[in-house]
Amino acid sequence: MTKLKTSLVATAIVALCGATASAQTGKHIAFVSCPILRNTEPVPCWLGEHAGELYYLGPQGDLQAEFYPPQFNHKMLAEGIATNERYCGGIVLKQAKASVLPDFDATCNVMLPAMGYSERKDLRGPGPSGHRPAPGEKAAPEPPRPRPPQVQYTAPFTPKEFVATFDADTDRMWRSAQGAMNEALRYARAAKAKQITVTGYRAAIKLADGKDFVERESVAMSRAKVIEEAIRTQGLPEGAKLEVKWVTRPSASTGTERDAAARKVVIAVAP
Amino acid sequence: MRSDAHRRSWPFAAGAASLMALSLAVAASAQSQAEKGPGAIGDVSGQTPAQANQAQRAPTPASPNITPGFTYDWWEPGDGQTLGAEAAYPNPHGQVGLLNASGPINTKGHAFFEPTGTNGRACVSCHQPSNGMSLSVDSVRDRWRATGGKDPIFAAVDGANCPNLPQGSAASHSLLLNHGLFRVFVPWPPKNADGTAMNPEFTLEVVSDPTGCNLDATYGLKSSNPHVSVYRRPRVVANMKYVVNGGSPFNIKDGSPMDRDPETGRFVNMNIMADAREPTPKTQAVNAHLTHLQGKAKLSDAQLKQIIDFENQLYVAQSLHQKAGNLVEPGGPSGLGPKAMHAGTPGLGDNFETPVFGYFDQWAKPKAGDPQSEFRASVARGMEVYFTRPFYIRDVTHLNTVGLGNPIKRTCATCHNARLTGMDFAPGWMDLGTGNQPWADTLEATKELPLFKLTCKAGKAHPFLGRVIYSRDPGRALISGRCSDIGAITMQQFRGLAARAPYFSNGSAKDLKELVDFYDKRFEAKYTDLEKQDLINFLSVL
Repeated sequence: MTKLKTSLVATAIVALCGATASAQTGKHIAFVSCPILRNTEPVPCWLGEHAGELYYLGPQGDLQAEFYPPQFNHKMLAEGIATNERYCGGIVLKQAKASVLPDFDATCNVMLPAMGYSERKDLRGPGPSGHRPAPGEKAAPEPPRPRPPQVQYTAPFTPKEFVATFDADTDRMWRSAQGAMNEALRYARAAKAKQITVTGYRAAIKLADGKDFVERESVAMSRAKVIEEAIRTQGLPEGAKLEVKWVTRPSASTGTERDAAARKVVIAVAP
Repeated sequence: MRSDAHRRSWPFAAGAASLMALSLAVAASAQSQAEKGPGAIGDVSGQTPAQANQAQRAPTPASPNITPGFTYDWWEPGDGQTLGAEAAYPNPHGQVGLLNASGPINTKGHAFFEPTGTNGRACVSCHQPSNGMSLSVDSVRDRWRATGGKDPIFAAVDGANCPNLPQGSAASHSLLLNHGLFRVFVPWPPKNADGTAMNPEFTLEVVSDPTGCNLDATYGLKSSNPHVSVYRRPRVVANMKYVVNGGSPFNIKDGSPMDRDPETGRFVNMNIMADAREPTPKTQAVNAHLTHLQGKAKLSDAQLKQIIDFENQLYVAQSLHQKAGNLVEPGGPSGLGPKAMHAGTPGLGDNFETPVFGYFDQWAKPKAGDPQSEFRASVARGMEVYFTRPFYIRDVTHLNTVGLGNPIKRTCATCHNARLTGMDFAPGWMDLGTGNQPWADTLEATKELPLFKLTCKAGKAHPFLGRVIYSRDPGRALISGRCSDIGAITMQQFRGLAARAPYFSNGSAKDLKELVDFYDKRFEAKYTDLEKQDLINFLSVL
């Protein structure tokens, strides 16, 4: 291929990508694909591919980061809001989530070279991959941040719901779900709750290709049961009854952030 | 589901229980309670009664043979000497130092040092001061030569490949003599905290077993008291404030609830055993006495307190190195020697403000022609390799599955992140590959171990090995019953490494070079020869 032809093809790809990005800006998008890792410095960035376009999900981070990266050897359900920004070779997805799907898939194993891209150091969580600070310089990346102070619950107490959300097709409790459960239990103790009702749900997620990704039927029950186990392990407040139930019918897909929010357990606390 | 285990008391009097009473107590407990999941009630873990039952079936010497007057650096059970406030013992790299922070220990009548069971062993038998409170394979071989195989460490119960083998024959003790491995027998299926049987997520078959123990009619999987036998190294009993530090409601690795101290109700960090089967040093002591020591009844509360108090004030680290010289001289690196362990504060060392073992700047610049200075500079470079040299870590369950991504580009210190020990600050069991195929079989020594086939039930799988896994040691999964735990082993501390080869829980790395080589191969780290040697030198001074 001559230099001219190469240049024309490259221009066409850029134009196509630009048009795609522009048309999708602000739109919620969800797709199932293998995750792709770009070997950038100092840490790699994670991408997903859908309909010939790369989407930037986020950097390798730490457990305090908002974005938890996907895993090789597993497909992912990628979700987020498309922006008009490009990073690391992909359209940046705002509020990106990558749910690791349970089935083993050895084809999900693609690492791209850096190709001149680098990762933004300011997104990097704490850890030793940065550099040792010079005398007087602040350590970068910063060590773990202290937790914010807890909300103090005081009377009057009213019925209150706490929502633990989950990644797609899993009952794995990440930090946010643990936090919701802990808050529910703190509120129940403060309110001397008589009843705690745990209800598990499953969701359908509208994909970018128009199909629905429907979570497996058992996950509503298993989500409810992991919350139940966690509550019992931490100690059910004295005098409180615990009811555990689940809704097997999936939520209706919407093609919005509400699809992710429907992968949940609601913990209702009644004083 | 688990429920308020810590609020319940174990329904039999401490110290008064015969094994029969122990079994009956578990049965009574099982009827009245619905404890699900591993753990302990009172100070007895769910698996202990079954294990104690098997231990009592294993033969013991008619008269325990304790060789008197042996003067090598070997601590005889019941010899009654005083263990000084500070002590140092030679090893191939130099000397390991011990610090008893509460002062000299009078070991006469002390439960850690006395043979409290029926086979002549004491805790100290396998946690030797001269071996950094673990046991080196060199010491094992010395004891074999010195006693003709009669030392209590060779007791049939777990010092032989299987209790059914002819004792006194080296072949019957090959795993201990070759790799420093003791038999760890755990009930199958796993036990809940209340002693009832768990419903594991996988089935377990024996593919091959050079020891014969897993197929044995008395000790094997099809016996009347079915047990799985795996083979592991004794862990270091020292520096415990680091080992037991922490504990939170949730396991950061998989989101599951953490075990609690059954007596205080506090969450524990589940880092004291290779498979985290015992939640506290106290339940571990109860279990070890009934199994390794073949005790007939539980230790008294006073004896247990004596053991725990001793462990909690004991600090161990290398203090002298043949090539690096005095490791604890004033002005040297702050993280070396047992006094540094005593003075230090547990915490996360995965950052530049509080690096795991501190900085080694004092040693960074070698003086030309000075071998000690050059070796120290190598150690300093080794620390930098350990702390800052990235490589891709992939397909490690409970590291690549915890929200960091698979693979991640990080360093040794990512997993070995706890200050001054290099353990994992979180519950540290991971499937590094030393137990599961395909990686385990790159370690030649594992071929002497049993091979199991584990088949996960529908809907369950190991994250990176699928539904059918071949394993030499299923690790945590033998306790939790979970497919995601197959092959996961809790990492050990790095202190006193020079005193206690071989390494990995299955003793498959005979020296520090084999250990570094495994990581280099497993993660394609592509260490240069210099980086490897620097890492080895660094590890040898800890």
